Amino acid sequence: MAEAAEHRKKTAGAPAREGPRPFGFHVMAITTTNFAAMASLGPARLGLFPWHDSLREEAAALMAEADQYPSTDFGTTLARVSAERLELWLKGVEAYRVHPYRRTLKDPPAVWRSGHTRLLDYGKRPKRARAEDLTVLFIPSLVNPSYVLDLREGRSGMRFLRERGIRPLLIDWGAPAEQECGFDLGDYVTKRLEPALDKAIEMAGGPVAVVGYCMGGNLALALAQRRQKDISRLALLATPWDFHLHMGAPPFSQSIRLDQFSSLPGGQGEVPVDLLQIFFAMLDPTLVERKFRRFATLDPESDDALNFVAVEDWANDGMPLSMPAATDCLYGWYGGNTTLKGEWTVAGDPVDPGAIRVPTLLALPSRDRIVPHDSAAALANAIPKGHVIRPPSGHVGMMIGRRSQEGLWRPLEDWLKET
Amino acid sequence: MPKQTSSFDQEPPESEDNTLEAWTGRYLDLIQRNWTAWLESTPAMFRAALAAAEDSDHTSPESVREAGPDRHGRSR
Repeated sequence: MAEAAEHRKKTAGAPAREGPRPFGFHVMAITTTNFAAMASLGPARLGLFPWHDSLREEAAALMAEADQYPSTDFGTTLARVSAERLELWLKGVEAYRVHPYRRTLKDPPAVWRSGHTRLLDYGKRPKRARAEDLTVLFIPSLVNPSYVLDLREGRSGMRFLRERGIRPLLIDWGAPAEQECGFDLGDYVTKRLEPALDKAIEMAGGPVAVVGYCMGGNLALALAQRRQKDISRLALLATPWDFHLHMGAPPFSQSIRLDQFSSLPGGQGEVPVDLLQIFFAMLDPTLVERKFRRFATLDPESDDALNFVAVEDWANDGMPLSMPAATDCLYGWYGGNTTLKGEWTVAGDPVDPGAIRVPTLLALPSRDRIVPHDSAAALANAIPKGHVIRPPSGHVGMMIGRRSQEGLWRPLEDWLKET
Repeated sequence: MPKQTSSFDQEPPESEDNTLEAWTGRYLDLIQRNWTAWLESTPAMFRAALAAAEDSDHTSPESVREAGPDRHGRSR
């Protein structure tokens, strides 16, 4: 409550948000689902609706229950309930858009930069024996802001570790600048991560630990393979490896030509944020409907509500992806499963987890729907010295959820400090 | 690839109400889950179809990668 009041003071007059993005997509997903539900009601009751195999039994039980209600009431009730749910959803969207929370944490100083990529230094603990501090290079995903590792007070992995004698250095990719628009994933490793690693080594006076999150884990793996002598430990958090195991909708991107989007008038040679957002929204197109209906019922000053707004702000604050990197990722990883097949190369060399010799930790969140457990487990199985932890969270909750300290940050801290 | 969506951990509680309104809510939820379930299982079908079409379809990803400059003269 005190934090909410403090935020109101700091953020008075801030403009309303425009999310959830892309708003038109979400409106369409909700209304289409409601119309589909209406059109499908008759066939569903007659057993003629194409339920997915995984839901057929549950659907049959639900339809059997329907016999107890007067058949003339279904249509009007469905129309009314759909309208009520849409109204509640809009209340949630309104509450989100005008919520006073704004991220107020300030970025630490950048100790290195190249193009739009920066290396942020969270520093050492004040008034402590500095020789004890471990230096760790953190590599986030390319398509979301790096501040998921530094979201807000009490939900910042970077600040949590700094207070415990670890000096975090965080890669902040920024949006692709002109030079980076031609980068493929390998270029990000050789032209950005390797020089950043050099800087980290210089600051630490020797090898450093490297931690990668999500697709940042794939980049960290490639970096570690190329620079094993310079890396003391490697941690890969929710890092996908087998892209054909229970991975969701982004493969639909293969049915379109990304280059056609980037060559439209106004295109910048990148995959635009809204298109990337749609790919990910298609993992569960009506999730936003359920989330914002729930948000409408929360006390706006509760910690749950603050965290919801903070995470949504971050999720809506995406960045475009360079076309070569998107091609590697969407066609190569998702389409061709080049990672598992040993066909993903960096500077001509296949990225091979079997070649990793440094101690490695893999975090496999048990409720991850973006990188399913089995996809990340394939990487754990391929790394000779892999130690696995399973935070009881989802992909993002592992980093900033209520249980993130016990589930991820404390185990990671302990492992990094093992001698 | 990472996500741009969030809070996948949070789902609304299910109702145990026996009214038609509650039944309708569960039906709407099931329709939503049905869409997602089909989306989750279809990429493998897509990949198979694309692989089969790759030799003859000039819009396949492989063909796109091998294509020359786009209509604005930029390299792909």
